Amino acid sequence: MSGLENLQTNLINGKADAVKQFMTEAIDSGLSPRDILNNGLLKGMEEVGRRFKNNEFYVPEVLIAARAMKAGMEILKPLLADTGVNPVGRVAIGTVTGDLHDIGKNLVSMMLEGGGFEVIDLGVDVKPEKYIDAINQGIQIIGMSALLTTTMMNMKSIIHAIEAANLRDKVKIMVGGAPVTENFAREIKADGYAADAASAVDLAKSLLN
Amino acid sequence: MTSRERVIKALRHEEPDKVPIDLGAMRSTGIMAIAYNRLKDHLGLTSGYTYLYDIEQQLAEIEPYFFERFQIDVVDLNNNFGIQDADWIEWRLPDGSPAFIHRAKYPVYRNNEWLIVDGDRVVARMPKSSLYFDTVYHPLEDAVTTAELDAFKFHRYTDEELRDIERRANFLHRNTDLAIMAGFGGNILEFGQTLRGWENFMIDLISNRGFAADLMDRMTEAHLENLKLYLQAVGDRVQIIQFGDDLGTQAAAQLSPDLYREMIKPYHQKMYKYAKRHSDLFTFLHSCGSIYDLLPDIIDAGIDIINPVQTSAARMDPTKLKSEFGDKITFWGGGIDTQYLLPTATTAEIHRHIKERIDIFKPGGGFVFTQVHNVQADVPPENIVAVYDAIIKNREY
Repeated sequence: MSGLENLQTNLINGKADAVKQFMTEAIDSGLSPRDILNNGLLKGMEEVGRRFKNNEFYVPEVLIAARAMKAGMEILKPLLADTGVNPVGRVAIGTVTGDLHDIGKNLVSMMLEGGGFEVIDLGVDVKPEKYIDAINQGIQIIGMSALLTTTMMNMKSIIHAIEAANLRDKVKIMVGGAPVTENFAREIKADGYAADAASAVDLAKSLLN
Repeated sequence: MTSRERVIKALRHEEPDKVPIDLGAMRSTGIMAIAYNRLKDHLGLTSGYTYLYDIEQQLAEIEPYFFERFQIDVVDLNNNFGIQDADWIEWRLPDGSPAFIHRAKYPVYRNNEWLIVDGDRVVARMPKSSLYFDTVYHPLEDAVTTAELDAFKFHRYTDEELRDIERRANFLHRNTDLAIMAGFGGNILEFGQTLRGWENFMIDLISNRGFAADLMDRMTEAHLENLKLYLQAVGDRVQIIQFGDDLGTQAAAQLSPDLYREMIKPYHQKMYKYAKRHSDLFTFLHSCGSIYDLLPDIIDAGIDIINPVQTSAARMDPTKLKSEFGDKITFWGGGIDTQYLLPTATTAEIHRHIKERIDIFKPGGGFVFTQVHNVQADVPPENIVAVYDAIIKNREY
């Protein structure tokens, strides 16, 4: 097995220590940071996403893989910055006003990072102004999450606030959460909906194309 | 046939005279106080008071009037039936309408949010823009040693609490002919997630198994001691003992069937089988989300009744559930979808949907009608009335 394959396999299996070890080895062997990122970490997380969508992986397996990814990234990140490797895109994500549930939002956040995105976590009970600030700082995608039928309606008012600030064409908006549907997303004029954390990565990529 | 007999018959997988109905017999078959107040206004009810018996979820205690109006067959052991003591204080719900809160749970208002505090510690918070309290305190979040687990004090029933449980069981048994649901709890996965933090515990389960087991050993020991005392207190005056443990998400089970079998099921089984061995009560499990993959193991662990039957989650198709598991477990829920339908549906849609669900679930008994989880604040009163009109019209066998 090659170094990058080892990295991938250990990432998929959530072995953070082994990921760190193979990461250091890969760097020492002279592989480019971009190559390690794309063919080691991101490829591994792509496989994690595939297994999650297919019910081969459940949340605990995803969590430990994401943790291993993070451990690897800590070593790789400074080198990526030095060599001018940029993230696939920048996303600001939050649970909408009135809603404190963040399990789904956190999973999406982890998977987006695993997909090569830079993710800014706005937290829970996020007011419209916070999303607007993020857009003003050059965020390309906004992610909104809600668990409740009562709070998902706030997605609509947040989109209105973004429109009122004349920023709607500066950003793509994706929505998700238990009661949210494709239809609802269309109705409130979001740019996309994803049913699970792995699909959210595909969606974010397609929104930037 | 009395309500109690009707429920028992359905739970024995026989067909009673009518499909039994539940509203508010446990903390996931109830109604939020905002929706409840609107419902009372809509029906022109000016008597009685709204009591928040579950402040975190803002649930209203079902008052006696509704047992007749909605033909409800089951009651929560904790329902005071309109007879309240002086310890309740008036409060305003987030929509400004009134409700009473028990003195012991009265929240404080600080920096634009309501907080439930225990001494100096904030245990739950509800921002001004929110309709719920959410737990923010995870006492074992940073624990790494078993000594820290040993130092944690699990709640044990006090004599006073047990006397109160016994008094309630006697009162409802003697003064109503309703089936009585005794809410015990006994959560394992959910309790671990509360004590350790959700992500921490999910990671413990897979990469720190010994520690997770040490924690679950201790919580189960406390649960079993409590369960023994609880069963003695309720005796044969109640019919259903309610456990809870959310095992699903919208898209799948929270954990794989293998991990469930290995890590969680042994603890569930200990409690459920204990209840079966030491009482004639039916065992009820509340477990949200997509749990299709886990149902065979849940049944094997000793559960008779499953709730809320979240048909809007992945792989929770009602027809498939009924045909695969209908003779082994009672579906207590699934009567109407609350995520996509109830808040926005027309009366005609509600009638059509409920008729369909009853046709699927009713044959052979093993079905108690209730909506999937609590009626949320945004459900118009007309829709709630439509639900009960529809079930009452279609409930006869």
